[in-house]
Amino acid sequence: MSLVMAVVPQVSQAASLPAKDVQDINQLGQARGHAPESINRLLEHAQQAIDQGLPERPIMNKIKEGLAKGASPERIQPVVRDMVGNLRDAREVLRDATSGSAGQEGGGNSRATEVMAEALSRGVTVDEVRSLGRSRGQGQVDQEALAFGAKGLALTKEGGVPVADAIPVVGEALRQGFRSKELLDLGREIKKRGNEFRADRNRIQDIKKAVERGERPDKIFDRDRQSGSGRGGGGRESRREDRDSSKEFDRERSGEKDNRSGGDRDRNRIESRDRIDRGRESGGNSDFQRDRGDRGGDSSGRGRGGRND
Amino acid sequence: MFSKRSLPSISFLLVVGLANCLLSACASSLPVPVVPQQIEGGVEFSLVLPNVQSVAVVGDFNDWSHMAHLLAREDGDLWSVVVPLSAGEHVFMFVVNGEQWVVPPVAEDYVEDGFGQKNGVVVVR
Repeated sequence: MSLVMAVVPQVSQAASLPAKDVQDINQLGQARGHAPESINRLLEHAQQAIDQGLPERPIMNKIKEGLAKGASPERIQPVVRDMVGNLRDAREVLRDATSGSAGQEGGGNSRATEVMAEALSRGVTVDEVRSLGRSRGQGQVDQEALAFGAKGLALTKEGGVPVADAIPVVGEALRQGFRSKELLDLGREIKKRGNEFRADRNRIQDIKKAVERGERPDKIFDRDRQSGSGRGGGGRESRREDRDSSKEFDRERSGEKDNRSGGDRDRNRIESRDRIDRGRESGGNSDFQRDRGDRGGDSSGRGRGGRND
Repeated sequence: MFSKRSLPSISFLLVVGLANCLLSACASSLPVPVVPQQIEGGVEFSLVLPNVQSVAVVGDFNDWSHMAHLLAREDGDLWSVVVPLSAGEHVFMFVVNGEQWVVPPVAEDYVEDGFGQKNGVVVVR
């Protein structure tokens, strides 16, 4: 209790940070036995972000995450420092890319900044973002679209697609007016099929052509799928399918339980579950379908709208 | 009793046998993957884990608190909980027995957490 009291006055040092977050972080730090000074040093990073007009939310969250996971403040320090750097770079690149666009000055879009910062932290470079902005072509550049495009690019790169191939695809998606979630879906679907794209470079060109035709990810990656299997058709039925898949998986699992022999087997199990669900979803008609991810969210909630719309 | 020639092969068999035993023992505590599923009321997180006392799902949606969303033991070794989540992306992990952090065996995506592990990503649509 006395420690709590000792920490509370230091909160005033970070007065403009959300008090509840500061209190939570102090309590977490105290519970982990960290000196209040070392916690304060972490909070200073969040304060710097606020002072620079950057969103502090991801920094506060990362501090909480690090402390909860048992990382020392010294270990968390470089992580949040990098995060502040990425947020700063994100704001700059958004400002550059959207300068001259009406209503876009000032980098005031926190969400776009956060998403762009994540893209940068996941390996997209500022130059690549600029290329992406250019590849989008003429017309007004929207900060959020560019940020989500950059994150889509990050996902595509994580899938092993060369950036020279990835930028034109995502740039075309931006040109076609893909919404935020569609940009992420595009990147995520490509990432899931990384092997396919690495093995055959023409595949990414096929995707680009489909995007040029105005097709969205759910159509591009699901083109052979028969209607009525759940996508967009309401949640209950598809959820039941998912549940059945889970049961089937559990049945399979119980049969295998005694035969497990290590990590590889566990990985096989992961793949085997994916195969079951994918097969159920698609009827197992094609490789394209079979490769579709096992996504309960897709089948039950698509079309519901939300933050990424 | 054994010729010098047969010793290496016996040693090999012993090593393989021992490794097999160890792997089997380890495997019995390996989590079995179940992808988070969006259902009515939220997202259902499930994990199959034998011989554990508690499982919690933690993430940016609950300030990484292992007390916020405890999974209930449903059937045998199956643990699950439904967590109402806002639309968008969320990162998560599991905490077993209040202290062991477990990377989700299956997730829609993964992202480095900066602390040497990976967070699972769940997308709420």
